[in-house]
Amino acid sequence: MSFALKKLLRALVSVFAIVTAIFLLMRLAGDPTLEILGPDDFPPAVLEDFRARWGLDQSLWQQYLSYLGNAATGDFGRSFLDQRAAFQIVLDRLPDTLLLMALSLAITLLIGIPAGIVAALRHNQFADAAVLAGAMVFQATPNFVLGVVLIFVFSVWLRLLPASGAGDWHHLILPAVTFGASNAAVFARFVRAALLDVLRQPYMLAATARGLPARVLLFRHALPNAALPILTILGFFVGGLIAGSIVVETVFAWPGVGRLTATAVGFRDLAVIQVIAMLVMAAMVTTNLVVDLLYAVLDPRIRLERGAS
Amino acid sequence: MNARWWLLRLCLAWLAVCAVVAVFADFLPVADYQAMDLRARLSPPVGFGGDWSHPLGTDELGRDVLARAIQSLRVSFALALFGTVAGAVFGTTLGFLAAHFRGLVDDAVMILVDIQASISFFIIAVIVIAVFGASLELFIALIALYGWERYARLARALALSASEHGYVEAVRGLGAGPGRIYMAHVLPNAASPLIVNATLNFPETILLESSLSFLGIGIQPPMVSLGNMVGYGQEFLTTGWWIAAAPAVVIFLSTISMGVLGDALRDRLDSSHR
Repeated sequence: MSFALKKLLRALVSVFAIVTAIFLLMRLAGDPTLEILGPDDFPPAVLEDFRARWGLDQSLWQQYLSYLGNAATGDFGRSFLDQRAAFQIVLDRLPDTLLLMALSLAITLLIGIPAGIVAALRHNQFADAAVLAGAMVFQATPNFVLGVVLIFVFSVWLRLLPASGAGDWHHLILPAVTFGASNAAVFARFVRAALLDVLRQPYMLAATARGLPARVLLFRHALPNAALPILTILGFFVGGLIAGSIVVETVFAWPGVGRLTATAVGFRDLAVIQVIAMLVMAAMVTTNLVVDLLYAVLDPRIRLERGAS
Repeated sequence: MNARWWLLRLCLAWLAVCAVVAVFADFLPVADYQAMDLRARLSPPVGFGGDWSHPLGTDELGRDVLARAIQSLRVSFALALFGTVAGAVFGTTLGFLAAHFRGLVDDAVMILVDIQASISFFIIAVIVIAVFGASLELFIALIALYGWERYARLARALALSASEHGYVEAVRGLGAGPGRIYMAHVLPNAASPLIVNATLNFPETILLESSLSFLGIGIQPPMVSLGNMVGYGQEFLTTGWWIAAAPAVVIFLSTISMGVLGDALRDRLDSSHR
C-alpha cells in the first residue's frame, strides 16, 4: 500500500513540475503579442487590449498563479486561431487518435509478440533470421515513407483503399498498418531478446529436464518471466505512439490530435500546443505509474523489498 | 555467414556512394537543383517514358529530381553527421564531468539524463519548435542535442570503470591533469562503445531530421532535405510518383545500411554483446 502511495505521490510531483516547465517555456518565447498579430504596425491601444485579454500585462508570478488555477479547472485559454477553448479543441480530436492508437497497438502486439517468440524458439535458424531481417527493414523505414509507399500501392495503383481522411473503417486500415508495422518490428526484437535471456536461465534447463511439454515450458515458465522486461519497454512505447501519431496522422490527413499538433505548430497556436503538451506529459506520467504498479503486481520481490524500506 | 558478409559489403558500398556524391555533388554532370525546365514538367524517369536529360524525371515545376535528390542527400547527411558528432561531444563531455566530479554534478547530470530518456525527443523537438518558431538555427541546435543522453550515460560508466583500472592511477601519479587523463587515456579506451553508439545514432538522426522536415517544421523550402522532398512528392503521387520515390529510396537504403553497419561494428567491437 505504501509502495503504491509513494509512486502516486511521485507522479503528482512530476505533473506539477511539468506544468511549471511548460508555463516557463511558453513565457520564455517572449511576448507572444507581436508574434501573433504579425509585423504590421498596430496602434498601441490595440496591443494593450490584446495583452489584457490574454492576461499578458500581469507580472510573471500573477500569470503563473492564475495559470495554475486555470489549469486545475481545465481552462487552458483559447486558441489564437479560432477563439474556441483550446482544451475543447483537443478533446474533440482525442477519440479519433485513441481509436487509431488502439488499433495500431493491437497490430503491434499481434505481430510483434508471436514473431519475437518464434524467433527466440528458433534461435539461429531460418525463422529467426527472417524475423530479424523483417524487423530491420521496417525499423529502417520511417513512418512517413512507409505511409507514402502504402498510399501509392493501395490507393493510387490498386485503387483498393482511400488515401486520406476519415469516414468508415476503410480509412483506418492504411494508417493503422503504417503505425503498427514499425512498432511491431521494435517489439519483435525486444520480445526475442527478453525470451532468449529467460531461455538461458538454469530454471528453464531444470524444467526441461523434468520432461515438461514444450507448451507448458513456454507459457508457464518462459513467458511470465520474460514479461517483466517487456513491460518496461511498454512505458517507452507510449512516447513512441504519440510521436508516431503526429507523423502518421499528417500523412493520412487523419483528423486526430497528431494532425492537430502538426497544424498548431505550423501556425504557432500556443494555447493548443500547451494543452497537447500537458496531455502528452500526463499520458507518460500515467503510463510510468501504471507500469510501476504492474511491476509490483507481477514481481513480488519488488513489492516486498520497496514496501519495507 | 557469407550472406551477412555480402550484405555488409553492399551496405558499405551504398554509404560510400552516398558520401562521394554528397562531397563531390558540384562536379557531377547533373542539372542545378533549383533550375526550372517549364517545358519538361512532370516528365517521367528513364525507363518509364522519360529521356536522359532528366534521368529520374522532373517535378511539377520542371526541376530535375535527380539533382534535387542529390542536394537533399547532402543536406540530410550533413545535418545527421553534424548532429551525431555534436551530440557525441556534448554527451561525452557531460558524462566525463559527472564521473570526474561525482557528488552533486553527477546527480544533476544523471537526473537530466533520466528526464531526457523518459520523454521522446521527437515530442520535445515539436514543442520547442512550436514555442520558438521554425528556424534553421533552432533546428540545427535540436539535431545537435539529439541522443546526448546515451553518450553521457555511456561515457560516465566507462570513465567510472576506467578510474578503477591501474592505468588512470598510474598517469595521475605521473602528474597528468584531468584534461590529459580524460582526453589522452580514458577516451581512447572508451572509444569502441562510443563509436558503436554513434553509428546507431546516425540513422536515427536522419529519421528525426527527415520526419520533422516532412511535417514542414524542419528544413524549409527553398532548401531541400530528404524529408521535405517526400512531403512535397506525396502531393503528386497520382501524377508523378517518382518525385517521392527518389528520396524515399535514399532514406530507406541509407538508414538500413547504417543499421547493418552498426550491428556489425557492435558485434566486432563491443565484447558485452558477444
